[in-house]
Amino acid sequence: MTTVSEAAVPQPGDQLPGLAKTVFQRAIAEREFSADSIHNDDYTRAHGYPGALISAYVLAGYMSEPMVSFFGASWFSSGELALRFIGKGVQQGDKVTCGASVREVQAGSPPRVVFDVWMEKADGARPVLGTASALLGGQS
Amino acid sequence: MGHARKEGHRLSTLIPFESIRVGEELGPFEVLVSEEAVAQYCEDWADANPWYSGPSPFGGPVAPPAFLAGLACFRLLGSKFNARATIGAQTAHRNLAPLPVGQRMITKGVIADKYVKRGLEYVVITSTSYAEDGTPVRESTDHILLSVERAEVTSDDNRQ
Repeated sequence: MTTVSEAAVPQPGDQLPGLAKTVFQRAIAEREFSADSIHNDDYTRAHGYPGALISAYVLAGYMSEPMVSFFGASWFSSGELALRFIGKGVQQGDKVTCGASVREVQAGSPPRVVFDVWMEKADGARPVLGTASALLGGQS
Repeated sequence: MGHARKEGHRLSTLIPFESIRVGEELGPFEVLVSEEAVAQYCEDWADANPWYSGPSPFGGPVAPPAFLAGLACFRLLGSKFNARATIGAQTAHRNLAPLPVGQRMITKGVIADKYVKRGLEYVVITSTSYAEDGTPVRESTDHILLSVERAEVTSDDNRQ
């Protein structure tokens, strides 16, 4: 496994350094949710989840950060992020790692780098899967 | 749409599937992308990128590209329905331009589709967010699960 250098054109299979986060959603920390809300522990547990579900937009924010770090300014004008939220979801306080591996480099001037991306929980489950891409240029 | 449920069985009680009209416009939803809101984002996401609070390649500070990404669609849906039991199933964003901090972001959307998959009901919302000068900054497509209540799976589900 190699680690992508920002100065180099990455190759398929190259991986970005994992971004570790402790998941936090302010609304879950500060509010009480109704008995039929996916942010309610009892309701989600009754439906087979480990606890209240973190919102997709929170997870999307975590997944975006390593793309900003890699692509820099280009991510703001050419970045594309597509995510699926699967399995038992993510809960408040979970330790997760956001990962990215180059799927392909599309020819062009500049080329577009396409990553497979994922969020991995401490138990190895991957509740977020998807792709991210942007034009390679304007890196920070 | 060929969704299948038992007669009289409603999965999402807050957003009856039948009440969703594909093609219905949603919004606009507006929010001020203030320094305080961006600082809150940086704290909550533990993302200390200096471009969000100071000089950036675009001049002054800009909003994190994921700011409200995947949330605006729920606000749009919530403008018509009680969306508290919904869950994001898929989200896709295309960044078009940076959004300077201090501007309003305006998001307009449309109900692009609805479907039943493995006994669960979904709605698809496409939306575009604009800076206050009308510059489009982000396009999004979100698949939203209406409820975790599940019906019997039948061969009539319109997506597999």
